[in-house]
Amino acid sequence: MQYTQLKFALRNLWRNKFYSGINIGGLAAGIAVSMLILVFVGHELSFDRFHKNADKIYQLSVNFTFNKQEIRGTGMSAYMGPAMKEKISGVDDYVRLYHISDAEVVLKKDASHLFHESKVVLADPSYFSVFSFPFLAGNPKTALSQPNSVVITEKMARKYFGKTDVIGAHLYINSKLPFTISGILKDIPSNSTLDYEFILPIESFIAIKKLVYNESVDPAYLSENFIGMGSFTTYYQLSNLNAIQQIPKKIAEFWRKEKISDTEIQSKKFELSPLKNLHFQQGRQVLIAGFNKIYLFSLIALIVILMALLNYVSITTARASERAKEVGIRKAMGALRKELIGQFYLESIIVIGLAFGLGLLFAVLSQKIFFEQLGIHINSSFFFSRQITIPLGCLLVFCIFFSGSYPAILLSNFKPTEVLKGRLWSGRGRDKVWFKKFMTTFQFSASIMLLIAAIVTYQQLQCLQNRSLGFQKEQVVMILPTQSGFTEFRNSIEKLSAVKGTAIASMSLFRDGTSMAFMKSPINDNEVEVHILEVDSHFFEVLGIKWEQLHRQTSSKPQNNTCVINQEAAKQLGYNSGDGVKDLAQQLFNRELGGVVENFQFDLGSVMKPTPLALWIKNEDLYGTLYVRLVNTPNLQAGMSAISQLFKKHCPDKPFEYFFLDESYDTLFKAEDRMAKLFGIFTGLAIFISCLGLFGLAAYATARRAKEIGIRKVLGATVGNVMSLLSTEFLRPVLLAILIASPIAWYLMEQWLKKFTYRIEVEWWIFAAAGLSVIVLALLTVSIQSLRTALANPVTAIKNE
Amino acid sequence: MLQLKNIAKYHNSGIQKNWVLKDISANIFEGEFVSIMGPSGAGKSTLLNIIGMLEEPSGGEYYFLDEPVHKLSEKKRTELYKHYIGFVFQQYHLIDELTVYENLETPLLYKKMSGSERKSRVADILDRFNMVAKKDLFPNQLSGGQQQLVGIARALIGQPKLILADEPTGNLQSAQADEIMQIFKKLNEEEGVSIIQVTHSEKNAAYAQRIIHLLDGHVEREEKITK
Repeated sequence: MQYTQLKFALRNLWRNKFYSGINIGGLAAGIAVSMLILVFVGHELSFDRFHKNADKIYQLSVNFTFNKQEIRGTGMSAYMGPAMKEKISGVDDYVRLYHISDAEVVLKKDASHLFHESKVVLADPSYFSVFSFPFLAGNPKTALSQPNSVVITEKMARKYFGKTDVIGAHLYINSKLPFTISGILKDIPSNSTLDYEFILPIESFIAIKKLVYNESVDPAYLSENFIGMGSFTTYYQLSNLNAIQQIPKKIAEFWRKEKISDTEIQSKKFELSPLKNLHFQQGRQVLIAGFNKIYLFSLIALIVILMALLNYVSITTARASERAKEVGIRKAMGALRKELIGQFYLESIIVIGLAFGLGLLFAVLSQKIFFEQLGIHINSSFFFSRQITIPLGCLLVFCIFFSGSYPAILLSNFKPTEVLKGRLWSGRGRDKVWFKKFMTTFQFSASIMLLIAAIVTYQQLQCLQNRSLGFQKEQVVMILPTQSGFTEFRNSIEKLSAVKGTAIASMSLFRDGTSMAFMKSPINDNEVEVHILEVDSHFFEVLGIKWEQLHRQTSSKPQNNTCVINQEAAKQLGYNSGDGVKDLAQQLFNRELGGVVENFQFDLGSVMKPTPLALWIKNEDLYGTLYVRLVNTPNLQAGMSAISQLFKKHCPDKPFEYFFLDESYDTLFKAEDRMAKLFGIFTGLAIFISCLGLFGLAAYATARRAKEIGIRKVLGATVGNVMSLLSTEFLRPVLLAILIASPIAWYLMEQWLKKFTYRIEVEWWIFAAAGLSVIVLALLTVSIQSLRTALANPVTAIKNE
Repeated sequence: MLQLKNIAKYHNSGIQKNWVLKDISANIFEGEFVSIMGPSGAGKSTLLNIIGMLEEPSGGEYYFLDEPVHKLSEKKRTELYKHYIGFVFQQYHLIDELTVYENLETPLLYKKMSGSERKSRVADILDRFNMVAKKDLFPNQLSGGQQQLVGIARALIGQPKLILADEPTGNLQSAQADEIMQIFKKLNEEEGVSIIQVTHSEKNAAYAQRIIHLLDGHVEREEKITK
């Protein structure tokens, strides 16, 4: 019995290659996308769960409000870790981390192995007992116990030494500080929030501060019994989860002892966050704000797979009349209903199974490109982990159940006497047509919404990217020389003919963060978060930043040791030019006001909305990023190689690295561009699947109306008449979909755009364009079918009784 | 009215040619009422379809109102039959989704007739066939004879010169069949419409002035009916 059923199901699929192709192809595309998204979402959700103590590790953070903004800080004082371990019984251990990120760190083996590194951290020795990073070589317990020891990853060992057995070898930080390799870690899994490649002991803090930041820190900083905010991200390993409440209480207790006011204590809310949630909290300030990637992608996956499944259901039910006779005969010969249900389920199992296989193949083939687009790396072992295989199995069962049930129940319900007389559709026919049109409308509504969303997102990104920066970003190179050769290097390149001018700033625009100061305006009592940048007086001229007003207008450059603010800072602090302004500058910044500049963009935040900025003018002893404006010639290469020569001469301890300002700006949007691109791909796919469904339905409907069309042709209808007759029937649900989707899409996109200060307006033509393109696609899809019918000889259709 | 010269029709089935019609020559004059008879598979319907320009002959010449149909383009042919030919089918072939009124209107739509003229024509024909009361019914709400009346009305509404009827009474009871044949006869005699019908029934065939007997794709004999 089973064998016959199987044979019959396969034969049936084979005989209807066209419909089977549409079903399997559409489903496979949908399943491939769902699988990729499943892997992505699964990967996101699995973050940091590989640690054996994952459930017990918590990070301490503090929340406070400033300028009506919620600010979350994770920097804690050194004593915060040990104090809690001593005083609270549920705290088993702690790890303090100090991430050396904002400064440029260069690691060196020898002159030819010299690289900038950003994943460098100082940590307590407990780093390797609290977290579970497997060692390739070395002893986790003692790896960080010696001062000047360093644990590096396998990848880094290969990068510097070309091999992995390098314990005992030395690496130099910024050419000066030697560290001995005491352990080699296996490569960090892709789903780890802590992705440091170099782990150094926390005792090196003082030395690193001195070397990298040129800051002298009192050695007592590490040991004093001070509880409060500071430099160290602190993790606790808890054995008793009550400690989650006790730690903040303990901090308040400490503070009361220190006679800190109650209002101060209450304004700082300390809190412990589970390590497992960290990945979702600490994501950088993503431009596509409110687009939670996980929800968004899950939603898209759901829509795409539902569309593909609906195609299957609607095509199968649409073709029910063809199967009806078979069902009638089988019933007349004594088949039970449940046997027929079994038969139809078997068919969906085969179709879904084939589609799954094909989808899996698509997914495997495209996963590399897909995840590259997303900018994430996923270890291949993750694909076979339980987090993926179990949901995938569930998806398979869901698909079979969802797609198999309706046709099975509908078809097996036919009454044999009715269907054998060919009276399947009379009377009840209209309901089925309604059902199919509903599905078409649903699919196209979703497609149109996605399409509108894709257009709006793309436009908004374009709007942000193409907005005037407030300075000339072309032909400016940012270079980071070493401190020792800085002035010589600068002086020597200024003599080059390719160089128009140079300037210094404490950071690289769009690459580094600025420091911030919180200040209260004495004029309007506003609390303002002012970003601070140290620059020399050439900065404005070299970048082409426009002055709104320049005080003491003796030259076009501000005076040394003055302070320049941007318009937004002036606005928020309540400045008006004229009286009292200078006093205010003295009061707030402790310097004279050198001038006010027009707003210009300097980091991601300022791209999103106008941000207050103060620039300290410091002409001596300023060390940081060198901005070089090049002469506008097509031969940039020659200029750059001349600069590179001089760099090697004056700064031998550093690799020559440079960043073009305009490129740095563009990389700000890399993640968003990728998201937008992916969004576009998914939208295209959703539309493709909708069209595939429409194609199937059109094929069926035209076949069903062949007789009517034959009659009409005999009565004198032309090919054009028939085409328009058939096409309008299918356009109606698409038009309805446009009517449904447009307002919803408009509302959703308005909500999203509200988050942007600089934003586009959703214009009517977007809806028109989306609607029109979908109509054109739908028309093309349908006309392939209707043309065939319209051209067919009516006699054959009419004869077919 | 029309002239068939050595009309042939075959289907290719593999290497073999399947002859449906062979060397058919006939003249049909304006105002004539002709029946085509013959056993099943003799090629009656095929011949009718060729005359109605729904099928193309494999060979031979066909002149309709002195136009060489076998040389005309599809578009011209469509124009020709749209204006001069009306079809009546055994299975009526009404459009199930349309009412009687709309069914009657359909051929006029394809003639690009104005709305008011369509209205008056449909009203006229409904009146003539005594179907005014049934104009809003759907085909499946009518009896077979009534459906065929609508079918004939639809064929006539374009005021054709020639009506081609493929077993128009084949699905009807004899009383209804008689009624239909009377209508044909009246049309032929009073309005001068030429009629060619395919039929199995001797009795119905005798309504015509001439009977062409087909056998295995060729004309077996012709028979003049004298009254």
